[in-house]
Amino acid sequence: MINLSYRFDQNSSSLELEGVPDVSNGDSQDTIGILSSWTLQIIGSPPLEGEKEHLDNLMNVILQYSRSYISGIRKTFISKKNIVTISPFGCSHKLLLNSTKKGVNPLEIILDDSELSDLTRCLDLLRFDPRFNISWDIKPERPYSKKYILNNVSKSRNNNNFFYSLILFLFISTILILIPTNNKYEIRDTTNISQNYRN
Amino acid sequence: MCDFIKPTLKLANHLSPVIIESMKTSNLIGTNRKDINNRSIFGNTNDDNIYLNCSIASDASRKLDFLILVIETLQINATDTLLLKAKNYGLSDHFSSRVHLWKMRCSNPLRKTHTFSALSSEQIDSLVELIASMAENLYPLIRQLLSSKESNTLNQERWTFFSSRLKSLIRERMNTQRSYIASLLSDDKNEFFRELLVILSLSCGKAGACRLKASLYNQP
Repeated sequence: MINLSYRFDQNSSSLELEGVPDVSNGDSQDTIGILSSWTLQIIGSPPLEGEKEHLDNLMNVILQYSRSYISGIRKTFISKKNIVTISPFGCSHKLLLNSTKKGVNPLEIILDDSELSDLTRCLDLLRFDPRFNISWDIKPERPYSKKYILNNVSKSRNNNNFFYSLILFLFISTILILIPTNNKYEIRDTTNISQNYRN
Repeated sequence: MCDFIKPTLKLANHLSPVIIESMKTSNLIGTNRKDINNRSIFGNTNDDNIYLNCSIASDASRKLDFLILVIETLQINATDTLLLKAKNYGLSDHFSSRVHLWKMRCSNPLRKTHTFSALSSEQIDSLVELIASMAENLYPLIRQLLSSKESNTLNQERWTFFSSRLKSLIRERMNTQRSYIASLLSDDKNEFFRELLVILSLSCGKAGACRLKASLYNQP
């Protein structure tokens, strides 16, 4: 049987998948229906390998993170069994990978925006590639509710104008209250004067 | 589209029955992907029913207009390319001329010539499709600007050139009396411009179009 290998290259990321056609499912000779192995190479980090379940977890977490990032939301996403975690790390993004093998330390990869988009593009290409007849366990892109966006949008992006205007209003009001007023001020009756003029 | 994918054929090292058996035990069998034939063009997937009860986000027109503005910054005569692509994709109804495109873009309330009209979902879909396609073409440039691994001086030069050109386009087309536009023009950190570039970089291709489209709608 022919072992097929396809590679997706995107500048800093390279994803290579190997597998065979699932003949029982009617796959053509150049279609991978059964995945045997995958290798992800991100520049500056050791190659990542695993089973389909691990790739599913990686895809799910990265694609969800990118989906939220495009809406201006930066929050942590954790896969099932804590295998893959991605979280904001300053201006960059921290990808944490826990090995299922015992005694292997978790791998930490810091990605900048360009590397994140490279990785996302690699996974996007795989997801929509007609040469793979594999069902990926990933959630489709869905719109967020307004409430979700407001609750999760980063604090720096919150519009603080209302808060600042409230503080300014209170400050000015306090100053105006503290300014002493002349309580002995007498209001002159001008009616008598006008009567005198008439006389 | 995927000309960089290099398929290589390898002869299996093991006998086929062994591979199939071992894969079955290691839970590596892929099941048939039912949705493969339903995904035809950018943004049109079998998940279209996701958007049935969704409303268009209030900032959708603003976001789309600014994304096209960034594309115009990165490529001279980008509007011509957009119209040509629209023709190729069969989107001529919305993009028959520059005026039609300009009218759509005038739904951005921050423009000098705001038309007080809202974009329809079809218009949004077609704009998303075009932006995704343009972003794919311009990806190398976008990536260069977003990369932090290159030399600081070179990066700074690129950003100076990019931001000055984008700011001149904003000055030309947007209502500069609005405080938001004034703040964009006076912002030296270019945070908003960076956000737009990140959106473009994540909007490349078919999957990127789905992602961008999802960000332009709100769930009830």
